[in-house]
Amino acid sequence: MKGSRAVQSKHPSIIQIREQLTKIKNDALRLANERLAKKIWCYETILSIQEDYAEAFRCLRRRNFYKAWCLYEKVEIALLFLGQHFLESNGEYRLEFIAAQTSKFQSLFPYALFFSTAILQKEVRCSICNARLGLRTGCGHVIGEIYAGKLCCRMITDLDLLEISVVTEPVNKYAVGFLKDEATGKTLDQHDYKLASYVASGLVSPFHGWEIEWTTRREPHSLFADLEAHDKCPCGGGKPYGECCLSEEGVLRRHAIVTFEFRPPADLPALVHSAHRVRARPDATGLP
Amino acid sequence: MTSGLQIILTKSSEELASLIASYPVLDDALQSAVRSAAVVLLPSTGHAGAEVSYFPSDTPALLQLLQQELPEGVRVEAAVDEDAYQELALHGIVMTLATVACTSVVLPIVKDLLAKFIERKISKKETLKGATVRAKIIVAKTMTSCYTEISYEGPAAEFRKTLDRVDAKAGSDEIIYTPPTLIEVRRDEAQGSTSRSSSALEGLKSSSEQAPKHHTD
Repeated sequence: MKGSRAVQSKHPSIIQIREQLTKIKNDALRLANERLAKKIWCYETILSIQEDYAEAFRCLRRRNFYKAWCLYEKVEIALLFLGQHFLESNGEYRLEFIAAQTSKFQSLFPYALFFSTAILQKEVRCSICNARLGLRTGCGHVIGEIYAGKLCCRMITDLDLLEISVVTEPVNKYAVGFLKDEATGKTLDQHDYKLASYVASGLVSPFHGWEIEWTTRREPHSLFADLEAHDKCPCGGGKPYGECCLSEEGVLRRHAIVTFEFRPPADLPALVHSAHRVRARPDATGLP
Repeated sequence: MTSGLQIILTKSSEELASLIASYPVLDDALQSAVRSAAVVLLPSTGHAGAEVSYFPSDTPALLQLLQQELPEGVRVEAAVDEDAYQELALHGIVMTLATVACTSVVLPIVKDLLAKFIERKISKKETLKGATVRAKIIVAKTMTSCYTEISYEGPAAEFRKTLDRVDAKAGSDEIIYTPPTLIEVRRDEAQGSTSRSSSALEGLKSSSEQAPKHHTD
């Protein structure tokens, strides 16, 4: 399992905006203006979402896939909390777009199994007032609500780890399994990121739209020449190759059709399991 | 996550009061409150080989909902000392509810409140829409009657509809599950084309195709 780290932009204008927001929030808190402090928390969160979303795309381009995955998960969680307090009226922060694209980017990752922990929570405290919380004793603060410009969470301060299981539908998507090189102790990434890589290289900006449509198509048997008839069929159906697709005109495989809103770079590499269509926008700015 | 739906009714020869009393509560005042309550939340015991007593995540919120929404005079308590309270957090998409013991007179409102609790959780978190719910209601006519255990495991969206089919048999103490007739399934499907969302309709189909398991021991 690997962990994720928070992203804080070093771009001067972003740092400036962040500093301004902190100053306004501190002034609001001095004047006991909870409403304004809450509003500033919303803007701070929007800024983090936009930064993380953009950084996730940069990570994809740099082939730092797991970090990108963690950032998309962070964006998803932040959008969930923000949605309880902020309604975007005219799309100026592109939150709806980011939410939709984040979900689509996540669908490109090959991760299918996750580690999931069973934790016995023996002591839980409130992130706002640090009060110990029990079954009948609360502190009045509500999870997900904003107090003094901060998000209210629960902190587990004493726990027993009972088990770690492997699941397909985790609540926490960070816990992806990786192999380890026994000789060197280094983490090995055994996952196939062809599709994520393909889409990332076909986009100039994370704020350019794209769509993915899943279909199936027959792939030529020559692609699977190293397989014997008794090997599992590459279609994923579970039967031996000889009893499944070998007698067909090709192997039935999932096929992704990616449609880019803007023309992708001319040197976009071909991908066996994908094809792209382009809605031509020759007049669009920033095209390669 | 399980895709099927399972509702199991198990009749016991033990009295509800003695089941509740089997959960140790050291505080005298709390013990007496538990004894006089009409609705009691019970801990689960044992997980992954560990001998632990625990409640599922979010039980304080469930207790609070029951306290707020049950009619005046209907007391609700949890059979655990405050200091001994601990929660088991399972991070898969399974919504486990605390076991609720109650008398059959309050069963309809308990079912309704559990469904409301699930619906509220789903409305707050989109990803829970496809979640599996695990819930157990232990019910008896009176605290000194033998109880029936109602166990539900299935889609969150099917919980209310399925539990609506569990009730005390008219003129008897027996708790029964009445499966939908073919006519009801078809009527619901027909209504679904105009008033139900597609996901709800899919759920309806799955419940009719995979008839819920109904056991009475």
